[in-house]
Amino acid sequence: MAEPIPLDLSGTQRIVYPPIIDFLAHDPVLRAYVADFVPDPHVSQEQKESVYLRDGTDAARRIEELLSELSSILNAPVAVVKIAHAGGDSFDFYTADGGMIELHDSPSPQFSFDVYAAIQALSQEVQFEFIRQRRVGRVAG
Amino acid sequence: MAGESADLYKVRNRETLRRLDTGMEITRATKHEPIAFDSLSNEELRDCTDSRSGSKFLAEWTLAQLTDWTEQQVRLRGWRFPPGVQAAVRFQMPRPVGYVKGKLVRTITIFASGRYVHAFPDEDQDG
Repeated sequence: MAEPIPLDLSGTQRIVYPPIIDFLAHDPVLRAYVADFVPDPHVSQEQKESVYLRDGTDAARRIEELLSELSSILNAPVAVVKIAHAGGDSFDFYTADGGMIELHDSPSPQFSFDVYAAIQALSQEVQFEFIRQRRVGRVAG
Repeated sequence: MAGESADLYKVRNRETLRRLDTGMEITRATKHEPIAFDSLSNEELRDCTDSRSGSKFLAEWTLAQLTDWTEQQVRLRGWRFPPGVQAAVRFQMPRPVGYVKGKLVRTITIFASGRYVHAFPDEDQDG
């Protein structure tokens, strides 16, 4: 079962700001990563936006690399294949074997900030792909 | 079903509450579930229901009720997977449904992304 990873928030306030990955998983039928995210308000006023990152594209390759990096930082026994935002600075990470790693309060700020750096990179990548697709008319603006 | 209602709370965040015969899947989004609003100051309520924390349903929106209502809307729209759907549809409800940025709202957005669908309270467009 899930082992909560604590995060030390002493002396800090909020860590994660939009864009924030709300949900990310690969869909084998769509042959794409399906990503929901909370957008930066300068990008969209909606509470959430959604984008597909098709297999074989540069964006999908970068997501794959970042998920692999995240799995390594989390010391996950097997690869992280799904991310779900749980509100605020909390995230749930699902591994390929069905396990779940929860991220919230932690005694190791360095570890936590490494994880958040990976999450922020993923979130920025997804939002950038949304902006790119919106520009070429593949998602509604 | 009482059994199903209890079991819905065992489903993990963003995993499937109900898989429809159309291929669409209604998922749980824990960050939008009710909290103890009465114990919060106005500032805390605003922070707890902003875009970072997630808007929150009122307690009357149980997982069973939300799942049933979402299924009804998905079926009415004829959404299927494949090919799946990318859409956000707003519904103005007759009574308040939850809080967004500290304000009571009557709007629910159903958000579909591929095969997955979930719902959350959203800002009222009429202000």
